[in-house]
Amino acid sequence: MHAFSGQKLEQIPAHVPPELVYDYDSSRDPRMLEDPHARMRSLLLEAPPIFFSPHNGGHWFVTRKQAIVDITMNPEVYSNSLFHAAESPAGEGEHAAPQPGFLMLPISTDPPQHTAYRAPLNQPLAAKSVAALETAIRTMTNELIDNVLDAGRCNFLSDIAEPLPVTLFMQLAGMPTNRLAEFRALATQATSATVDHATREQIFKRIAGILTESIKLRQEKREDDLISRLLDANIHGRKPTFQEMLGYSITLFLGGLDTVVNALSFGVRHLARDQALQAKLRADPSLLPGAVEELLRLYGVACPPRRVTRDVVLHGVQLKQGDALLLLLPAANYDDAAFPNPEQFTLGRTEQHMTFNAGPHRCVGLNLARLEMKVFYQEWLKRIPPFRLDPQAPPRFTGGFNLAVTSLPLVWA
Amino acid sequence: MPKIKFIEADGKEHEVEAQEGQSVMQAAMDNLVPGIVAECGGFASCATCHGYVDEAWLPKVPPPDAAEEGMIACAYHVRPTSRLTCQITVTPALDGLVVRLPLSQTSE
Ligand code: HEM
Ligand code: FES
Repeated sequence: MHAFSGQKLEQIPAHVPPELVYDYDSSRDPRMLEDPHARMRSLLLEAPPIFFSPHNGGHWFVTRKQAIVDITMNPEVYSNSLFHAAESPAGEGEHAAPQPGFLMLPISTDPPQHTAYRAPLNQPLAAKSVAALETAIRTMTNELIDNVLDAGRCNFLSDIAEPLPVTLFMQLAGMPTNRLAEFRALATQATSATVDHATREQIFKRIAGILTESIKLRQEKREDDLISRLLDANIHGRKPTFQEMLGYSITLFLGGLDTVVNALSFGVRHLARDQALQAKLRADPSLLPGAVEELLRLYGVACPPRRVTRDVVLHGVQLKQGDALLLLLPAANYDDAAFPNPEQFTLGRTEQHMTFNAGPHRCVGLNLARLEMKVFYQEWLKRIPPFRLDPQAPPRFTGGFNLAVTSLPLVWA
Repeated sequence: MPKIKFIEADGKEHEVEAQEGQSVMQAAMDNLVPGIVAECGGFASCATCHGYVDEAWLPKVPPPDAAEEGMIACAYHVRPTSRLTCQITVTPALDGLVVRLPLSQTSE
């Protein structure tokens, strides 16, 4: 059995000492489902800093900031190339492969190969470049607000958080906007934790189909969008192949949708429960960039995996070649060693949070994510009166490779 | 061991002893020089190890490759002498190198 298989290991591997075993199921743990980030904090207080859990094929979890930084800075030992071709569990887990030989780019490669694949994304997604999207984000946000304002209530997840990044992605990538509704529906299902395996595989095929069409259109005629720019990228002295283009598009699609959806939803849930903070940010929107950063710290989303390429000791723990690790970035954000009073919302922290990770794979979309969130909060707080959680319908959550919100009903007067 | 002098935007100087073969960025990090962030750990993927190589030293430093050039374009406060310090390897020839640091690695 391999890590992330979904099944529980019957026997703990011999090299794992019993005191480092802790029972945590990243998709079904009841306390996580109750409140994901409260559970992250409790893992920091209750579990060993590096622990092994038999769930999901059996793998390690890392919860401390320094250990995670050390891991990400050493990709030779802690690889993103998760599965060898022979054991590749097609269609499973985060690095799901729609076809054999298919690579998610740049995320499933390691340096030095990664550096070449990553380079073409850096400029189009730099802060200076994404600034050009600000007006489009503002317009989209306001259209979504128009739809819910008068009702005095909404399901934040499906009415706002899901449509916003999908629409933006389609525009950024250069997808036909007349297929927006179809694509939105697919994106929602693709990242939903409640969809079964076979259905998900079907959905991925359809997404790959749509992305394929868009790439082909741009092959014939370039426009001012990311797919066009990638087509002319220079990778080791040549242009990307069609497979590579698909690898980029699918990573951007997965990396830029679910993450933003959940970061926004958890952040809005925080505000819905803190009227004083809402009032403070309404009164002084110049606090927003700092507030977005602190909400990103409190509500990390992604928990990326790594594969150990040789026997190694990590902060005193013996790891074996082939072991899998899950980096609990949302837990590292509650590490007291880096963030005093970690449960408190505190503006002006200087320590960098881990929500976008560190190292060569550090999120390439972080400038866009920050911009989406800043513009969203500006418009939302300006137009929506003080809002709170719907007392009749509390929010619901799920886990896995991402901590996620599945329902977030809000009400306002 | 080659010495490297980092000069912060406010003029504060830090002279450090660097190891041959390590990057100029790593020499700064090892010596806790403020003003270098190095979010990506030295893989030319973040542009937060940005520095200006002193004019006098430019001829002695090998020029940037395409990946570095592309990433420099994403940095803030770029000048003609801008480099990513993680892409410069410390050699005996660089003993005495002077690198000035930008006002900020992450904002205007
Ligand atoms: C708040 C929202 C976001 C969060 C929390 C987030 C988080 C992350 C994290 C933790 C990684 C590192 C994964 C690893 O270490 O293996 C990552 C990588 C990545 N993200 Fe994001 N992300 C967000 C938004 C975005 C957006 C908007 C885009 C698209 C424009 C995007 C595209 C990517 C890509 C392409 C990578 C792979 C980078 C590489 O391998 O070099 N992300 N993201
Ligand atoms: S450390 Fe990231 S580019 Fe140099």
